[in-house]
Amino acid sequence: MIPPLKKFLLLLRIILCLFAFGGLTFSQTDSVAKHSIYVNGAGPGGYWSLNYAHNFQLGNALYLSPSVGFSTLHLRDFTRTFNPDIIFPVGVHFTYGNKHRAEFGVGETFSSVVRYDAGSLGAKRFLELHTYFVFGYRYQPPLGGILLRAFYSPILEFNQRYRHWGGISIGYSF
Amino acid sequence: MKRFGYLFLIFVFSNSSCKKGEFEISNLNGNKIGILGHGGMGISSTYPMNSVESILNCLYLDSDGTEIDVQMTGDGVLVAFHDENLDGRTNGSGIVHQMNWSEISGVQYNSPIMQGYEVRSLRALFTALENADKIKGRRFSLDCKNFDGNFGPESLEKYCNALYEIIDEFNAVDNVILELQSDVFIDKVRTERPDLTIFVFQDVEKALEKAINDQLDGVVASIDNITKEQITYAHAHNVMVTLFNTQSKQRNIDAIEMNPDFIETDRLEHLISVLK
Repeated sequence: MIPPLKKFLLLLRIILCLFAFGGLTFSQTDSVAKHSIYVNGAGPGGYWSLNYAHNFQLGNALYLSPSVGFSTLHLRDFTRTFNPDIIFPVGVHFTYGNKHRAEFGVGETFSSVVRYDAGSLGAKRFLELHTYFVFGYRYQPPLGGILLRAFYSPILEFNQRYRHWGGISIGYSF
Repeated sequence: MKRFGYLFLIFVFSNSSCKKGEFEISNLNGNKIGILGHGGMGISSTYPMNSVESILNCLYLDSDGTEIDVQMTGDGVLVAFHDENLDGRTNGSGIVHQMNWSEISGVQYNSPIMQGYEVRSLRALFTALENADKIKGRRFSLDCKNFDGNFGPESLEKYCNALYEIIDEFNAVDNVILELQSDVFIDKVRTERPDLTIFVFQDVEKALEKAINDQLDGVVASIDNITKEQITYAHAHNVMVTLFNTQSKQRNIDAIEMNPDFIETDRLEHLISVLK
């Protein structure tokens, strides 16, 4: 059971993520490449993830990119049944700079993982949350084109323990 | 174009060089090599070694069984865990044989990230196996580790009793192989429970001598430390051989060609595809 305060904070974080995703369209300009698709090697999705980000220009060189990703680890569970682990990193990323940018981000990774459950003596799906942070470098021309990232992305795994982590990305903005 | 033709031929031959049934197996295990996972799915699996998930996945892949690392906590509980220390591989900390089970229960493996697989007691593992469908009658080769430098007769008694209790409770006498290292341990089990299968896990020459002299069931050896001739010699003296340290497809093939009775492999799916 998640304690009520923790639950509330988690909910708050989710709402903030969603708000950031949907509520900031007022600050866009037409010239900025609005969409980015990129693949992470490691990063908030675990070992890899496929991600979409929507880009907003907040100021002269300040951008906001809410992102959502998808990843998986096992497609079949340990009983060899098709029952994939599902991992969704969702977050907001601020970048500062034009082509070469400094990046800061925060988000939640939602994981739905199949493990052995000693209570039911079988496979069971566990839904869990992990908070992540991103500090890194991003190459992303404002008008679009190739996107490259290298970052440190520590994860508060199960919102209980700190894990050093990082990653790289390659993608495209348009 | 010609170059592609050669490449195609190389590809075809390289993939057909080790097909099923190509090996002539002659051993003490009914002329079949028993396919055992190494701690379940092996060292490079996305499931941590000795986790319930790794063991069950290995068995559901239709292996003949698996090796399981076993050691005893300070309060006499058998734990399926490889290292002396919890640090590094898990989110726990401390030396297993100096801790009580209550301090270890709930500890999770660090890898893979965000998965949360737990370290389990041997009893929990056997309970999971007993309740799983379609995987009955497999072999469990228990690598009985002892990292305690001050391991005395009292601890040995406790260790043996804990093993016997689980083996008897789960009716696993015919399914369990005990991989034992010290002579004292071997002699005690051999005297007390002659119905149990014992494989000696020592320096190969010593292990062969011990197994032959004491009429034990087998020896365990790294593929790097034993020769095909030594395996033939063991078979001639009615001693079976388990090989381990096969972390690649080539080492699986090398192990098969040495004609052992069991292979504890880290490349399980490959070995199954070659032998079954």
